Amino acid sequence: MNQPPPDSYALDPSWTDLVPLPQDDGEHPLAQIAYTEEYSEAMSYLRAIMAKNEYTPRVLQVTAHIIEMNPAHYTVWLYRAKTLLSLLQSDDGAAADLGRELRFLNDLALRHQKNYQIWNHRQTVVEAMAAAPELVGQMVREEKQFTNAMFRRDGKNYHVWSYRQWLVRRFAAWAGEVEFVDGLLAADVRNNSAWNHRYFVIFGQQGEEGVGDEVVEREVRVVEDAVFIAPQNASAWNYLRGLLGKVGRPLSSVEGLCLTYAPLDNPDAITSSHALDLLADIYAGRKEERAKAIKALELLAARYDPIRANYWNYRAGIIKAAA
Amino acid sequence: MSAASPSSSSKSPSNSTTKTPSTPSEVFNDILSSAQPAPTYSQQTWNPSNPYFPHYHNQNMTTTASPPEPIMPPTPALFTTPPILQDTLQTLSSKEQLSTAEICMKHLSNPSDPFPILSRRQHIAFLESGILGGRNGKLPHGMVLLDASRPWIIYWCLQGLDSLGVDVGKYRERVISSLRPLQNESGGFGGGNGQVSHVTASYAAVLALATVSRGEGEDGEEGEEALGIVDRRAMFHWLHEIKDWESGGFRVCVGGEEDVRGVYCALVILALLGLPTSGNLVKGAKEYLGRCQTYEGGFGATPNGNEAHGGYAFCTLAGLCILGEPAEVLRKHLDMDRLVSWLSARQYAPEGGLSGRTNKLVDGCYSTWVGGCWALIEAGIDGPQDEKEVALGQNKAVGSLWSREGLARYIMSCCQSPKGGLRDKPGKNSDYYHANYILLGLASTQNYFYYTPSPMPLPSSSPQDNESEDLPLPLTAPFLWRYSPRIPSNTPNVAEAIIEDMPEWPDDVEEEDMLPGQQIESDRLKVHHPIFNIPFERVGEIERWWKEKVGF
Ligand SMILES: [Zn+2]
Repeated sequence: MNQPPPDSYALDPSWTDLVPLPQDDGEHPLAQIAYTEEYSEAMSYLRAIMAKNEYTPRVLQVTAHIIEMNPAHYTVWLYRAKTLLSLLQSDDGAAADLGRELRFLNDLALRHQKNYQIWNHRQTVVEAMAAAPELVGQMVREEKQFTNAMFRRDGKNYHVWSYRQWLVRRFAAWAGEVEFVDGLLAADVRNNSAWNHRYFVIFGQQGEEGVGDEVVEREVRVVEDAVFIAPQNASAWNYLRGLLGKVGRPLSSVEGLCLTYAPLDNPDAITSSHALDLLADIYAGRKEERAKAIKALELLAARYDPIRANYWNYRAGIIKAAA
Repeated sequence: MSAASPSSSSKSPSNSTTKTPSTPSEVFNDILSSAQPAPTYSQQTWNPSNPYFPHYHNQNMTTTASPPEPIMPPTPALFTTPPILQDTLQTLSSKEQLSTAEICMKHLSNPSDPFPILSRRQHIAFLESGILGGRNGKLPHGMVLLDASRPWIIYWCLQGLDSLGVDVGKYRERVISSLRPLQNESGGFGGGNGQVSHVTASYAAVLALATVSRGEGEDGEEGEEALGIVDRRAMFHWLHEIKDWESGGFRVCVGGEEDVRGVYCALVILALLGLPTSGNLVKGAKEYLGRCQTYEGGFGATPNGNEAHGGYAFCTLAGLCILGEPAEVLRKHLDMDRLVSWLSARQYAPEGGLSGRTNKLVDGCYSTWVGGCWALIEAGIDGPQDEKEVALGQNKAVGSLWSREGLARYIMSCCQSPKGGLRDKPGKNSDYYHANYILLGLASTQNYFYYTPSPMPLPSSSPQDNESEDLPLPLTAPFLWRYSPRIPSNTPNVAEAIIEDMPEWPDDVEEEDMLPGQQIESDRLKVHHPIFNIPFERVGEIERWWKEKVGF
């Protein structure tokens, strides 16, 4: 781990060469924060070190100290990253132990789930580690494991997902991602972040030529299974629509599926407003069946999703105007 | 279900809670007719000028002879009963959703106060404590987590106070002296003194300066514009440094990450400071924003496939609306149908509030991030509107595509903390961020924002788009927005909802200024600008300020 902070920078011989730089908050400042002595002192020594453009191991000590007190301090993170990279290039390379840095980040990330900066910094560190190609495979495996651990705490953590997607794309680590999503969806079929990642993976690794028919059919089956156990799950229906749109298949190719959950001739048996929504679009595209589209939208507005009545009525209005 | 019943005594309209909800208007009529005799709750809490009940107001208008006694109708069943469609399979997401819906229903159906009034004084006290601190004049040390976000605290509190009717001009000098040490010589503002310039800190600093008025100079003349402390030339150079010429986006700081916040914040800074767009600073920005739209129709943080998220939706739409006329720029760069569908799906019942992502919970701050998108979308659908026609209610507009009433109910019943301030949802503590964005969202429910035709062609409306981006013009589109309290109706035969009968809030609500019986307990907020989220009237002043400038 990082070298523990001194009890007092002012009294510690390895810091006494610096003249601490106080903070200028201006006259009668608004929203001024009552810092602890500890925070003010560490910050004033960091300012002093930054003013000298010093990139030495003790920067890691003071930045770790401040980050522990305020992990959202982006300036401190940036300076720490700069220092690490500069140490790597120097004779003091051993001081920049990137593995240790990741462990430092793991601990912080687990304690500060909503923090941004940790993940941005992690990207910098991993990028630096990738300079050794023989270690990349192992590193990517471990990174996936760590993000998995984060997802076990919160399967929808936006920063962690952004990082995961960066990692997968950066190192072309697509293998195993679909299975990983399958696992998340088995635990919670409504995890929209997992569905989004599914879309990212299916279409992200394909490049220009697009996905083959068998993949599309498999994915449609995945949706069929998902809506079978939870017909009112918007994530699955959104994914279906996105999938069909991306590969240029008409919505009408899933009309049968929609009718299973939204039998228009038996409105009492409807179990999915999303199926109704899709049906409205399918029928709106067919002149002779516009009345059915209107009916679906009226059911949504009046009965199955009335908080969105204005929106459903707007759509019905568009169809009526076109007729 | 007992919690959802408006009153446990005698003739409660119990049918409203057991019957399947039909249309909102039917539900409402149902309740009105069943709410006899007059309800037992205190009349004092009923605000007759409450703007959120179009049908109720319609009733008022049809009985022209003598307006009926203002009664507070019980909460419509839509907001007191679980949704009609619920899967039997339970997962973590559905359990969280269910428990949130339950606690919200409890708040929404409170029989003694079905539509609480805005606790204005408490919210003012809460926000004042954010800029003025406690007894020692400082914020508690736990707030150190916001030590790199001080311009944000100042902006949230000032804007929130302005919404509540406080004259924030009195803080002008202190805002200036607080933000000056945050500006870096190389351009931009950091989150605190000595911190690296960051685009969100710069954005918040510019907004904070923009909220305070010009004040009075010597001889009673108009004072110096607070934004004058910004080194515009250095800012301009710094924005070039964080511009990503390849992607068209902006990084948040030199060496920092790149996402749609960077673009939105940079564009707001450019527009409010009247900086030229020469040097291609906005080149590729529209396309960048367009590429952030996901298969769901919403927007991710970057064009790289992130999940659609309400916060980024506002950044994208507002960013595009800075770059051109909404009807043109939104339709050109976005799939509007998918966007409107996704945005509309963010509103839930029974909660009435807005969520940020599919299958996530409602949260008060999305009142701005999602709710604020509606004005931009509706303008994108309607096209430019004539001010005179709007004033007469003769303009053609699509009307509200969302439920203003639902959001207002969620805010009033669920987001007001009993200790003052506003919060994400019941059970959470209030904070300055939520307070501001919830108030802005509430103000959005009270106003109709529209775009007026440009007196001269905008750069973006030229057919040769890329060339025109080279023109060294300031960004003018966001200055062409107007607002009206008259919200166009989309329900046939219902006179437009609201709002003209709401009393105007006095300019400044010092406790000592209030007279007994003064119409102070109004929900009416001061109006903000739908793209900049600063006091509306300041935007015209700011435009005049930079128009008077020659060069930097
Ligand atoms: Zn929130």
